[in-house]
Amino acid sequence: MVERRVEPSTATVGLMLPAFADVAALTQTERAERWTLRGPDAALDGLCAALGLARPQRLRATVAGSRAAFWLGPDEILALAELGAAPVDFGAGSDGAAVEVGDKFVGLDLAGRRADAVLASHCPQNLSLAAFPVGKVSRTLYAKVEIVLWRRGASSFRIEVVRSFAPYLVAALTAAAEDLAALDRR
Amino acid sequence: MLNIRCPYCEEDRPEIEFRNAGEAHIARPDEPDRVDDRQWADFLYTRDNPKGWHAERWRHVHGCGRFFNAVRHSVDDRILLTYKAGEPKPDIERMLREREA
Repeated sequence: MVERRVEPSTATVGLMLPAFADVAALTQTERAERWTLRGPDAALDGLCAALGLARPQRLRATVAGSRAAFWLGPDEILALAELGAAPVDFGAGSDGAAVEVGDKFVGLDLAGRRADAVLASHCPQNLSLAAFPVGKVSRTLYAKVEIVLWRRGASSFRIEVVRSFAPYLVAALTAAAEDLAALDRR
Repeated sequence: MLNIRCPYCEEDRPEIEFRNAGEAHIARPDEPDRVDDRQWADFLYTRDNPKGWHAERWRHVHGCGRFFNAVRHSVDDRILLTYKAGEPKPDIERMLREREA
């Protein structure tokens, strides 16, 4: 089965994403295609293979080129791909499901000297490098909204957030960054 | 705040990522049309409310999304263990005795 192509909307978060240069910079990522992959491991193997990716292990991501797959749960993967590539053929007869959710999420990159502190201000997880090493991905919370958090570097994170929650999340991250910048100035 | 071990993520996670989902090991009658109203009402509504150790369902709703079971003390919130959905109810008394031994 070749999945139906749905052009993701051009809508952005609609907010300025200020950079607190010495704290952290927040940028909206390029629009992307995204899929929720559900099913048993064997089906997920096939669905990930259709994207050219290995199936991620628990709380980890796999990356190949501009594509990535995040482990969200024992039967759930969130896959990302940049726009414009050939349509993905997930094949027929699989007992898994691949649902295109490109417009469900907005991607945000948070990077900078104190990116982990900005996140830790409202994220309940332990974000130390020992507990949340580079390459780890987890669905969690930031303030009142659910996010998917992927650590790409010691102080570089990718956040996937449901589109309608994005303005709140950006405001909360901005406020946290402002607070940290103010503390630094003291 | 409680730290709860998710048996699917195999990590201790903060309570805010979870939802409590009531008493565990409530089996739906195999043949619902063969039980009377009283038994059906019991299945739907009658629950234990112990002061002490209690097996209950939790869901890692802001994490992996999975339901699992936890043995929690209803007075002081200590959690004895968590285990995956579908696994049999542990022998709580025996576990406590072994812990004290």
